Amino acid sequence: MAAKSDLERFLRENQPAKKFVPYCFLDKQSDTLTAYFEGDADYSKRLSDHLTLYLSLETDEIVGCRVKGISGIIEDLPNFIRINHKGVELSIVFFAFTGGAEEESRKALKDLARVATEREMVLEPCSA
Amino acid sequence: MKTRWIVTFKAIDPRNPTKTWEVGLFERRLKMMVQQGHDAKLAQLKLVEEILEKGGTERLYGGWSRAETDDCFVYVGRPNHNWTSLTIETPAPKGCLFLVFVLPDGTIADWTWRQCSEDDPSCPSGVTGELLWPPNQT
Repeated sequence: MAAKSDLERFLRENQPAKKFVPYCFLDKQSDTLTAYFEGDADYSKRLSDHLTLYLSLETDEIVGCRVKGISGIIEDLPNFIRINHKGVELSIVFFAFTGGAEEESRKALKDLARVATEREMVLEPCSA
Repeated sequence: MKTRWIVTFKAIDPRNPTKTWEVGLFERRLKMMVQQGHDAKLAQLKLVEEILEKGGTERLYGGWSRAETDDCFVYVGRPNHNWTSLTIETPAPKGCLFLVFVLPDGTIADWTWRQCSEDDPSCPSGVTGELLWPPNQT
């Protein structure tokens, strides 16, 4: 019998929670912010150098996004906004990118900010 | 292996495609998906394994098509099926390729389905890096 791969072992030992909960995280190494609002199976669509959307395979609705080149924005945020006790409101991060964005990206960023507000999503400070 | 990689794969080495190199995923990333119940994204890791380790790589690009990512890599494959959860297998989405994004040190940064380019069905939309493998293609 073939040996179990790392992946098989991990998936066997780590059963995901039954209910999806929206989340976001910063990855310093790739300089990206990833957010997921829904747990649908998804595909991605690159809108610009800075923004990739995750869309539901079933409905084509936005279920998440990946924002690239995030480090400068995150570092500057405390200079412009008040951060609540938990972290930075995720919607603010999306608004920060709308200024120089093309029309399609700007609309997507506004949609992302709206969803992030509805979900009360907060980007918590953490190490890489 | 990076000390915090909890899952590793042997993939085509972009710097020497006749050999393999080790790529992997950080525990923190995977544990977050487990805790948040992101079953669908975890299930897509089965496709990552197919693309990287089981001969599923059709193309390998250098660069992520934005500044300062020339030393990153994209592995591209065309699985004929998808996993929409850890237990539900479906046909692959039509007109899509599966992409695995890898950092210069081998850390897997993302994995996703992506529509094919309208100009070239072998090439994913939005990927314009240098084709590293297979040789003799454009």
